[in-house]
Amino acid sequence: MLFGISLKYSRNYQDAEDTLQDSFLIIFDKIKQYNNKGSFEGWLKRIIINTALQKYRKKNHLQLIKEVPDTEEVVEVDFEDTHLDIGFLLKLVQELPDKYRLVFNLYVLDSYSHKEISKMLNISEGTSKSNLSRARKKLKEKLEKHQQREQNA
Amino acid sequence: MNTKKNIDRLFQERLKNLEATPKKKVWKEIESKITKKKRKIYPFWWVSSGIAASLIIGFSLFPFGNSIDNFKKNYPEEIITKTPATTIESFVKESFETKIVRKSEKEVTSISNKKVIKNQRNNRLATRVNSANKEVKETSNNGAETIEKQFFEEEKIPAVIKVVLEKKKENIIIITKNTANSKDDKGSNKIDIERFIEDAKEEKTIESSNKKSWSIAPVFALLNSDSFTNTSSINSRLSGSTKGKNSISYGVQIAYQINKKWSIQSGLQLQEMNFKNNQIVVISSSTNTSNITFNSDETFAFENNSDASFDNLLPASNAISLNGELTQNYSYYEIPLEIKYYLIGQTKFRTHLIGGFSTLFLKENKIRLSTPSLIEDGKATNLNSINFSGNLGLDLNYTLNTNWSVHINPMFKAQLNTFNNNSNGFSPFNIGVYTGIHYQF
Repeated sequence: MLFGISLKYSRNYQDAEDTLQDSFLIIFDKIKQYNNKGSFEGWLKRIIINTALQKYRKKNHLQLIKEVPDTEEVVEVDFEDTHLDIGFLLKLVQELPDKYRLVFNLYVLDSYSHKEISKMLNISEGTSKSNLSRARKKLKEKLEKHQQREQNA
Repeated sequence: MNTKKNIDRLFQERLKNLEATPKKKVWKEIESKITKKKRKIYPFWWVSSGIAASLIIGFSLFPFGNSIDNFKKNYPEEIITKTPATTIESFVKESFETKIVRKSEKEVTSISNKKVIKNQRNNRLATRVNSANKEVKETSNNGAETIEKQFFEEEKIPAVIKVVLEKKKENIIIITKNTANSKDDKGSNKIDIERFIEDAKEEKTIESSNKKSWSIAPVFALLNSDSFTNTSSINSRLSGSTKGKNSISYGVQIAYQINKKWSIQSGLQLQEMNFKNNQIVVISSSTNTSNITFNSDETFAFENNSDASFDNLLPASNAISLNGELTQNYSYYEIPLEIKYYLIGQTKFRTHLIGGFSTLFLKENKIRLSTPSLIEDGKATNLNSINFSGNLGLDLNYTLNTNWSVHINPMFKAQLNTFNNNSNGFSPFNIGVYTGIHYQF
């Protein structure tokens, strides 16, 4: 489960391994700070996420982010359930640029609010929202491409 | 089948249960990096038992440490050495040395040797002494006095030696030489000594050495928890399905021997308790009927699967699982205070009766609900943070040598104050087999 989280938040398999390793070192280091508040799994999850965030937060520090108007559009796609395997979806997520991927993961997969995300990533809420919608669009494009290819094949 | 679907939901659903196992290499690297930190875990026991040990040593040295010194101090002045060595005496000397050195301090050996020498050579004496050797063997450092007795029975002995014994606490023996030859003196001394020998024999069976009244032991126990009642502390509907599971307890035990019959023991132990409800029906519910809060803030109702009334309930309810499992796990820091009473046994193997109570400080409090479809963690809301238990048990002790002994100790501990309220009459107890290695000092 933990490696799964690590995979979702990372750019690729290697990064995920690194993140997992770093996380476990932190976990063993800070195990005393875990004081039975909340579930142990939740605590582990937080550490993995934070470790992953730290890793990519450092790197995209200097990137310019254009803000786009706040549109909470619902991106919908046609897809055939059966043909999308989990590995492919994971790959799509991993291929997203760091900033999009993190926001998408936090908001959609781990249901943090934009407010929380803005604090965690040190960005504004607007940026968080725009990154999310971009992430959605990218994912949609890729999914559609994939489907076309499938149909052509 | 084509469906229009929110992209969020697609990813949410598919990636929610992403399970992946990293390569073994990763675990190995993690392992190698944390081994340094792992080492820090070991000292915990050394440190805690070290603190306990030093405390006890400190305690014991102060009020009880002077007995040996007195023994040494008092002796040299009293001993009178006379001489010549004959063949008989040297024989006696040798036999003494070989037999006594094994068991008692060197002082005693030299004292008894000198006594023998002091008395005039006598063939009958030699045979007497030989028979005395057998007793010396048994009573170890009291050997000298045993011999004295034999000497008194010899009418021809010119010197009368008076033995005054202060019983038990310190083996201070003051021997004075009396030059008077009067028969009255001899008679009274004889009585004194006979009484002493009776005491010594009695003592011998209980304690080979009185000086070692403290002992410390790391202990480990296998426990099985259970309840006097059939109910469940978690939910009144679950009565009959609660089963105790095996758990462990470990810690340090210290004991002080008050006298030959009684000793008192305490320590610090970590005690775990484990209960399980199998095959329960888990129903999603809006009201909390159980003594649990789950971390997710969700609430569930529980029913006993074997309950006949359940069949009627089923169609209406939104049961999550028919085969859920509720595991309750809580642990305490236990500080026992127990009294041991000597029952029967020889020098090597002794049996004690143990009774007392423990103060228990709640350490961990966990409940896990697991069904095939979900796992929820939570904790019990009705556990008291301070609990007491009444303890009763039997202690079987086997002495390895003067310092070390092993014990095995079946114990029954009934908890008295586990829950604050509405525990549905659940009253837990545990049966454990404790074992440990004692170091006496």
